[in-house]
Amino acid sequence: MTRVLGAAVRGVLFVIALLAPAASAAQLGPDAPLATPHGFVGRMTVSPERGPPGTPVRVTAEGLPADTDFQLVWRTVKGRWKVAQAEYHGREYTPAAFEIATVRTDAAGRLAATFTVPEDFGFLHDVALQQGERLFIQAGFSVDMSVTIFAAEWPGGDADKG
Amino acid sequence: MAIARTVFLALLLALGVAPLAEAQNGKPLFIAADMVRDRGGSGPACVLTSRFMRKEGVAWRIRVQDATGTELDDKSLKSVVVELSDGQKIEAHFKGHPPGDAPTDHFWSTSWKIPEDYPTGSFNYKVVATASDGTTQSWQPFNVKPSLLTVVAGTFEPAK
Repeated sequence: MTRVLGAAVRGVLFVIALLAPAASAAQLGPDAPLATPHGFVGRMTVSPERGPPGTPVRVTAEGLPADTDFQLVWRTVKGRWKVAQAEYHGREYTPAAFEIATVRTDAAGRLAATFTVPEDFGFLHDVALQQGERLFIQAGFSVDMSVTIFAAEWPGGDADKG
Repeated sequence: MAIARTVFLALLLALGVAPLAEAQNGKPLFIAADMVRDRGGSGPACVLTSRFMRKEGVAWRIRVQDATGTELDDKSLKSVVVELSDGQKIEAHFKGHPPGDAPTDHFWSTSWKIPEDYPTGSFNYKVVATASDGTTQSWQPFNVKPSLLTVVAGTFEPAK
């Protein structure tokens, strides 16, 4: 019995862990357009190129129009359960973009900014510089997935041995 | 009043019938495509993948069929083009694969070497086939990030 309960609790925690990124996406900025490029302009790098949520990232770009404002955007997906009339029809992920910050190039067309990797789905996300619907340049950042378990709050443990 | 009614009817006909006539002339095309690593890359060629480093070659393999399932070659189609999200257009050609004396299959293909300064991240693309009568049909990969063309950090340095 305790084994069944332990497995059930683990299952619930696992589901909560899966849902957590979607729930915390609200910490991102306002929605931004899913801009498309008309030929890329300039160069852009993110450093580091991967890391877990909370990682501070430095963005640098050059070769852009001088003294110009851009949206710095984090691209991801919005996930939802597809439930209709009490029937589960799987999951649905829709591409989405959120503003991280507005940034401005200097007189030489360069810019530098920092941001903190938000809680979000694992693996690749695009960090883009855009103006409205036009994407100028982008760079990929890979979110490393991580799990933290607090032993004091873990009701399983020895119960599995019983 | 009668003149106005006649002009109005003529306008309706012009707006409604032209697209109908166009649709009747166009023959439907069906496209299937995939993306593989080109020769000389970081691993074996012609292996399905969506992740590439800069300076690696991306190759697309494409089949185009008509409504009867007949494969359409370069005698039946005007062009097959891969369009990248940044607007680049890469023309495909119909030939035997693997290249050489004993091809085991024939299909449209093309390749593109990722420039050293290309941005990283994921990129959409589409394949556009144009029939000899001008009918076009486009195909896009599943809009799921891992399925899109992905340029990962790092630059591929071929073995010397």
